[in-house]
Amino acid sequence: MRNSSKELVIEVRDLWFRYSRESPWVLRGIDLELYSGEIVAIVGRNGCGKTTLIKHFNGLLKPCRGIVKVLGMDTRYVSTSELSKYVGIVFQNPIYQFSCSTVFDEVAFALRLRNLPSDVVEKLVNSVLSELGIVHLANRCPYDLSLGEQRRVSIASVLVYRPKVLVLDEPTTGLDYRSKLFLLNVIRRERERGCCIVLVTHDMEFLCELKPDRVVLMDDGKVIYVGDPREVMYSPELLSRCNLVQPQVPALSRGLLSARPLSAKEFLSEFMKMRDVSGTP
Amino acid sequence: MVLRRSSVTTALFYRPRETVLHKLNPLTKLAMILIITAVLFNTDNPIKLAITLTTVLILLHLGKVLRSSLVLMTTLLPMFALLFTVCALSWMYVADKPPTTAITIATLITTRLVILTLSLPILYSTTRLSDIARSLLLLKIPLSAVLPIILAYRFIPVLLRDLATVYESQISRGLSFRTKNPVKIIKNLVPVAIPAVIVATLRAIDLAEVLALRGVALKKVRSRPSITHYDVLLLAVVIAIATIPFTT
Ligand SMILES: Nc1ncnc2c1ncn2[C@@H]1O[C@H](COP(=O)(O)OP(=O)(O)O)[C@@H](O)[C@H]1O
Ligand SMILES: [Mg+2]
Repeated sequence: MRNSSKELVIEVRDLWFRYSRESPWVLRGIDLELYSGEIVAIVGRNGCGKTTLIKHFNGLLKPCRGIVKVLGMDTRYVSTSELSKYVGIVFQNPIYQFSCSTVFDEVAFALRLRNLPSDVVEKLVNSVLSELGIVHLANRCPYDLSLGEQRRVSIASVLVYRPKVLVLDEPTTGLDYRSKLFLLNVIRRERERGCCIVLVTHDMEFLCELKPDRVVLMDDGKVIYVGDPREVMYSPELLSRCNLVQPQVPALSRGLLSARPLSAKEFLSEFMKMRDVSGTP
Repeated sequence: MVLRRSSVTTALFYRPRETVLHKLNPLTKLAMILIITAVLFNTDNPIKLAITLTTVLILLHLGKVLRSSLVLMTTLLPMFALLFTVCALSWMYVADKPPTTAITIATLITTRLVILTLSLPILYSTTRLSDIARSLLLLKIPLSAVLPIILAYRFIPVLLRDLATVYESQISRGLSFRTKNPVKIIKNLVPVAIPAVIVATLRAIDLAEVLALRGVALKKVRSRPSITHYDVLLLAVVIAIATIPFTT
């Protein structure tokens, strides 16, 4: 059905989940397939179950009903530390993971757990630090950094072991515009490498800039739409059903342009095209 | 290390119900716990201990909090097992007692603590935190002493949630507790303990600042919880049962 050169990395089949017998279902029959080399955005209002869903991708949570497979492995029978080799999750708040006194050690944490020799660790850590532009922070204490820097450290600490799937849970909250652009480039570069990137967010403006390959819209524990970001961004009904506001560029372009730009850059080039056409007598 | 958070936290807190125990004056319930404690530490007779335990269970049942309290106890079981082991070993090797004596003493100490722990929900599961606080203030305990207790108590679910979040982040990066080697387990606990302590400290600092900003100060207690005939009755019953161990 999809591009056959892409490998199926995560498969979710009819996933149902609740935190306890007494509590209501948080996930109600989710079906989803994630492939290598794609960026998938999971979007939905607060509390709709996004974080709960991604915690199934490395076995932190096990399905109450249904199946989650990572590279063909059923997560029910594989430990999280084993699955973590393939699926890296960067959680929302970086400070919950900082357990070392320097950024370098923090990023090296996962590699040392895997008992790699120290020269290899050093090489890998330095390369990921430079990728994320935080080489100069290597000897600082993670707790003393700004939120943007902390987020880069936490992403580095996961990217360093090159997982096949990189999951980012609301990575743009609290970041300034520059840091967001930087993050955008990191995400694109990882996709080029063949990594599957799952981005949990409700930052619609960021998604318009990023232009993910697919958007998964969630509401009340269900997937209500999977597909092209343009379809989502230009469907106010779909967005309002999920309590989301249409981002600026699509809102502006609707009724103004026949094309459907997402980013400001796209908008400008479409706008120029239209002006040229209508401007000539 | 599985944190069955929802069951633990619900068992640790006030559950609004309409029972006799809920309607009692908080001071009565506090008194009951003090009496039970006094009894526990003044007897080593198994029958008397059993009577005390039964009393506690009946009171919990009256407050409709028996089940949740037992759930909490099962969660605490490993802790009591550890306590028992440490106790028995230290009486055997440090105090040089024969194994049977050491085990008897360890059993007694553990039993007392189990019953004492089990009796605490009589107060906290059936009384609103604000009512407990008000009662403590009525006992002329200063706010500066009451407030930290109340805050620490309110902090428990927050800290448990933080601990779970830290734990999840670290095993997501490959940390594993699936080993039988105790040295390794302790070593692996360090990356969980450090962020947990730091996050807790940061929260405490924030809280202190907020309190200072709001100008927390001692206020006069306005309404006092009333004492009803239930208070008198149940207190009398508990005192009566409590006196049994001291007779004969
Ligand atoms: N550890 C937990 N225990 C019980 N309920 C939880 C827990 N974590 C989340 N929930 C509940 O599950 C629902 C979905 O939460 P979550 O997956 O965090 O949503 P999102 O990430 O989309 O904001 C919420 O109603 C939340 O209250
Ligand atoms: Mg979330």
